[in-house]
Amino acid sequence: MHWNESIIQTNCEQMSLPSITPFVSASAALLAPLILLSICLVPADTARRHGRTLARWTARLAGFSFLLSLIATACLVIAGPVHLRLFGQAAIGLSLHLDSLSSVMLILVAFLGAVVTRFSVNYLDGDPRHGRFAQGLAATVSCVLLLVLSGNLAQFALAWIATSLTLHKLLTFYPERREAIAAARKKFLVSRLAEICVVLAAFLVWRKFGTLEFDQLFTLASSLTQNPSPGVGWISLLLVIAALLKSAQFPFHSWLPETLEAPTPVSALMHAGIINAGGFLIVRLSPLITLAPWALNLLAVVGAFSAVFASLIMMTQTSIKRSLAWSTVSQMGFMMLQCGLGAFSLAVLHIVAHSLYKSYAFLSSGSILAIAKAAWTPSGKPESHPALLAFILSVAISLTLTVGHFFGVHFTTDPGLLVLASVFMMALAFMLWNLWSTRFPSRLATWGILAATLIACTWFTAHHAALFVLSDALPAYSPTRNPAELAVMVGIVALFMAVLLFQAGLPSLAHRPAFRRLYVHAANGFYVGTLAHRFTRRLLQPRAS
Amino acid sequence: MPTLAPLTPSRLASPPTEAALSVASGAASRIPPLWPLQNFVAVNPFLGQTGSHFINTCSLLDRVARQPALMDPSFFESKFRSGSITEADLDSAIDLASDHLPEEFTKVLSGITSTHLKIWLHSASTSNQSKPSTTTLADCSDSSFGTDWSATFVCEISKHCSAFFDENQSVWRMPWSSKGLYSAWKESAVIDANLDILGLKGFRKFVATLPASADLTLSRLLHELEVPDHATEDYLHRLLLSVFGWSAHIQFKVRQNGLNGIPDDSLVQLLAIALAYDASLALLGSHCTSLASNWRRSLNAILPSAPAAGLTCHYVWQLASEVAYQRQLIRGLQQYSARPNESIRPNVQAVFCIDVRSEVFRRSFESSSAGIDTLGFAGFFGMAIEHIPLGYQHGDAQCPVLLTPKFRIRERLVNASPDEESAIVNRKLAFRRLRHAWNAFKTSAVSCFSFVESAGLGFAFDLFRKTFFAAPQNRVTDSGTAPHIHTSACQHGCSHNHSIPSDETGIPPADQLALAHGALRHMGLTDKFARIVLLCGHGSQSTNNPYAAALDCGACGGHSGEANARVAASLLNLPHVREGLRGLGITIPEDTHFIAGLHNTTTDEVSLFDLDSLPHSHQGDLQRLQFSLHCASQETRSQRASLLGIQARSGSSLDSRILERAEDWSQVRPEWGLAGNAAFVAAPRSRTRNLNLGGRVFLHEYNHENDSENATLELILSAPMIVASWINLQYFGSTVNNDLFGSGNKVLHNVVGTLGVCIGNGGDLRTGLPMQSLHDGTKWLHDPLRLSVFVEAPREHLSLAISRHPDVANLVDNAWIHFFAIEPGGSEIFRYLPDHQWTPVG
Repeated sequence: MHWNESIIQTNCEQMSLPSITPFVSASAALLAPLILLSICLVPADTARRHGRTLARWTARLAGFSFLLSLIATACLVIAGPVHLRLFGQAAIGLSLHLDSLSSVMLILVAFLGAVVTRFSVNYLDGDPRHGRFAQGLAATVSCVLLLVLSGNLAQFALAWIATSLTLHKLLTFYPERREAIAAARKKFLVSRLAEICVVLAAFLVWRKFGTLEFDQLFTLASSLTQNPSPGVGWISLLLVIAALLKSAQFPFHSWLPETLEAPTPVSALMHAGIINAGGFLIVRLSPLITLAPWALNLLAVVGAFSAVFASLIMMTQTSIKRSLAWSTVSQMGFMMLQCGLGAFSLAVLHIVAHSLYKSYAFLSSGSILAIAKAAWTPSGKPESHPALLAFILSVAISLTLTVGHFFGVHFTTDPGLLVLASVFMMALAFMLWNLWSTRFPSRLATWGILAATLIACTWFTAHHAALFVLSDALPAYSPTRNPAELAVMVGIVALFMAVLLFQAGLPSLAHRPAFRRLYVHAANGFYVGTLAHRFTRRLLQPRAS
Repeated sequence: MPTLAPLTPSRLASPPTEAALSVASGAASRIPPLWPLQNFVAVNPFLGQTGSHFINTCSLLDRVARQPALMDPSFFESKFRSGSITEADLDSAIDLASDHLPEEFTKVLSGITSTHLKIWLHSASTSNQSKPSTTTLADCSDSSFGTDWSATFVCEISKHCSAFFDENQSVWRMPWSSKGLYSAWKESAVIDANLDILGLKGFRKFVATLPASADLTLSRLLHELEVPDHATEDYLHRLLLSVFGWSAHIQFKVRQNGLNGIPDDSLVQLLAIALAYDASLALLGSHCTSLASNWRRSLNAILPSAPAAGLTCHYVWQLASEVAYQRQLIRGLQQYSARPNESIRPNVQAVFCIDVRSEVFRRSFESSSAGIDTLGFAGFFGMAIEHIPLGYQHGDAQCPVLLTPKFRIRERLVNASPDEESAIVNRKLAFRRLRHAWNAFKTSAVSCFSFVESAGLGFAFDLFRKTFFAAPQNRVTDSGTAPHIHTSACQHGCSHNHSIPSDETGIPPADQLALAHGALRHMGLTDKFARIVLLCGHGSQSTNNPYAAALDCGACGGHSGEANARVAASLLNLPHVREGLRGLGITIPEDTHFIAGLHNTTTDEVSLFDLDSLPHSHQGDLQRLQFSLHCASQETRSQRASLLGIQARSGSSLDSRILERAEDWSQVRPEWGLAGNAAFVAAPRSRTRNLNLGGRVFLHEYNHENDSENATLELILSAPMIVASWINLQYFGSTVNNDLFGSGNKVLHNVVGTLGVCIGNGGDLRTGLPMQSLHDGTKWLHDPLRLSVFVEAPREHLSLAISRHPDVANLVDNAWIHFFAIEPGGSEIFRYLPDHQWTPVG
């Protein structure tokens, strides 16, 4: 991948500032989760009696921990990355790894925590267990913060487990909702599987490298790049499976659209702050995982399939929250595809942007009526004209190439980047298709071109920014692709193209018998959820005597 | 495995289709309509039952829904302990019950004293005996075999209905939505493998054997199941109640089609679908034979009309709770004082909606300065219109749902030439199309990824602003536009631009006079006009609230009353209308000017409209009016603060905290709406002017001396009173049984098809009001009392008016409302009892 960027590598030795800055940075970062966690020390009885007050305090502390995350990042910019071993032996202990990746995630999660806790002050007002809820949110957010700050794999695994346990409490906040319990059980199983994978991987890492500290691991891994050894493949595979399980990828996704039985802020937090832990795992440990390219290929294929599979299902959903939930599955799939193609910084951009968008979408899901009321709906779309679509597609392609050229991007050098860019071209084409397919006044033509150019510019800018910020924390990964891999990539592009063609032809296409059948199956999520439901019911229900 | 043998011709010989259909439509008629959230208006959830006595409905619901429409006994126990129900109330409730209950219940009642009632209450609130009730096969299977079919069937039916009726949510629509509900279901159910996977093997084949018409399916399956005759209607009702929300939504569609003369049997189709699911258990399930016989036995065990002593006692407690409220109100209404100086011309007359929230504001407004008179009238001011916003082709009906709009009113730009206007409209349209394309970019399967990467980061700003900087503001409408009441053939507003279709909008000159005359006459404003007459509609302001329309004006069809008030005011300011009115005996002085206003019920601010048409001579009056309104707003807010749980140190901090609520996207209780409503008073304002009615009373202006032919009286009873009772019973139903008639916990709400809400993952559509509108977490804010109606008019006129309107007679005779007559000008009050008997009270 060739981006015309300059990498700024800061290092604390080169700075004139006092060497205390890294410690400020580390302690601010560490204080962020701990200060929020302190809210859980309030006894249950007090929490019950002063629910609203406690919720207010949670929101304040979450705001404070967001400020701390900003301070930590500011110090990081000045003093450079920090790896701090607080105590413990080589294998197990408390340590802190603060680089651009963890500070981006730190700011993101702390911000979401501040928003979600503030939102819950009024949203849950009057609930008899308001205080308990606030404590649950605080615990979950702190666990995620500890996860992103982890400096070694054991701590990472612990935070990973703690996150899903605290989240489980939130998902079953209304135990009288039977559906909530059923879905939480499903999630419980999937989470345990993911945890087993992470713990096993950690064990293998310790066996192989003799350490679990990230800084040592990353150095060891980069020295291994030249001659990969067999054990690494298993580690990568386990990590990839853990990520796929955690981020609700096919075929283990069905719990995600079913966990809407918790208050809206929980959905917002889960879909924005927690579901992407799988992606974070991959990106964090990318120096290790890139040692086994086939594991990454697996990730790309499963991710691409999940993305398309879930977005087809999303199109059939009739309720706002379920559409959003299926959209998360598909967005996580796309993020996994980016990871699999080695575009780790783009994957982080996707994680951050998706989190912000999805939390906003969940929290504002009550506004859907106001939006629908003001919306314009085309009165009867005509049959799709292939010529028009081809024209629009070529407009989108040339626009992307032109803007890309202006940003100095060379698409031809990396097939992976080309895959991602072609998805973007198709997206632009679809936007223009919606603007132009019904009526084509000249004003709309210009507006469409303007909008598309603007979108392309923001897209490239965002990508550049992500590369610039994250370049020092992530390995450069651009392997030479063999023909089989190239064929799979072409397949992936074809898959997205098929979806584009399907959507462009939708109103009329949907009436063909094959698509009618497809509609019914898609509306049921292709029964994956039902099968999983049967499975968990058999596994978890006490046998009738 | 039990066979799914196609029914043999002999068994099919003569399924009594006609009989089955009439039972099915009987069950269907028990379901009330549910308006979509966009135009959410209050509906009486017992609409199908008003033909029979309230207590009969309780016993019906006991039978089919396992709970009567009454609060839990513990509720009454705490009311009695706190002293809000007294011994005396109990005694009068017993007397009253024996006077108005149907005979079979009064028999139970004989010899019962308040001691009996207390003993009953104690035993009922401690014990929890389950009564036999009508069950479905799925219920039966779940309780005896531990299956999960009832919930599964609800999900399957809801899945189908939400796909079929979806308005704007899904991108890939159900391909059969142009067919009937049943045919569409059959088409998709033969493909859908969900139930087969869940263990109901052969369900798709079973569906394939069903007849193509819903009617035949219904009669065939009923025949096949051998449902006992006496239980059939209850069983079908029970099936509909299991998907009550969707049934009610379909009932709404049926009602709308009926208004346009289109027959619609979708509800019977839904019944056929629900029956098909349920019957499949008896025909396919693993325990089918024993299940069917168990189920039939349980149906036979329920005797249709055996009045239970417990229910009667329960009812008397409800009655006592109402008597206790009436006792205080009656005492207040009897303290009648003669009207103050009638001859003096007031400075301002203000007409407000009858809504209970107006009562608080009117009281504050009247006390803010001398010379202010207020009146109550339905908040659409008699203007039944369809209001079309600028740049739109269609609008919403802005009138009570009992009426259909008579005129279409298009919004126009004020002081703009036709060219300017069309330019602005075109820009608006282009902008909306761009938004549409952007929205498609956001939600489509292929572009959502790129959307996230190019726009996602921007949401950080939105999150930050909405969470930490929701600026308190009073949302004022776009003042550049005004409803345009003139028809295209009329004077200056005439448009020659063809791009704005001006067809059939506006009010023809011939109708303008009649409309103005009717409005003034019915609101009792026929003489002694002040210099300024304020017509004040109301609307609410909340954000991120699917139930926003429930807080708006019910008389305007769940919208803000702004357009109606502006139309009425500009109509009454027209010189030729005033001239015509003079001919009809209503003389409006030259210096009287009508102003339209909007009472924001969330913030209690009042905005005034179209002030540039106010003559220069009235500027001083306007300033005084605005000052009084400002004082009234502050006073009203301070009165509401305690209910909203706001303890503010100063007036200004109180103001800003109330304003904040309106723009707070996490606020689940922007205001309390009509919670607490309990009475309706149609009388001159002087009757209630000295009373603090606590925002619980609908106030309608009525002066019987000016109504010699009882036209206004009949109108009040047949329209505003019925609407008030719908609102009252909506709150009542949502409070007594929120699981069935309410919409549960707002924090789990999930908007379906942009027309309704479900809870969490899915399941049935929910009706009625959320818990957050009724309960503050520790106590009920709404006390479920049936509406007590007081009308100041001679009793014989009232009896006559009641008997001329069957709808009103149903409500009054069957105890859906309590009805009282106030002796005109006197202090005697009489209670109405069935068959037009009146007994003095107080």
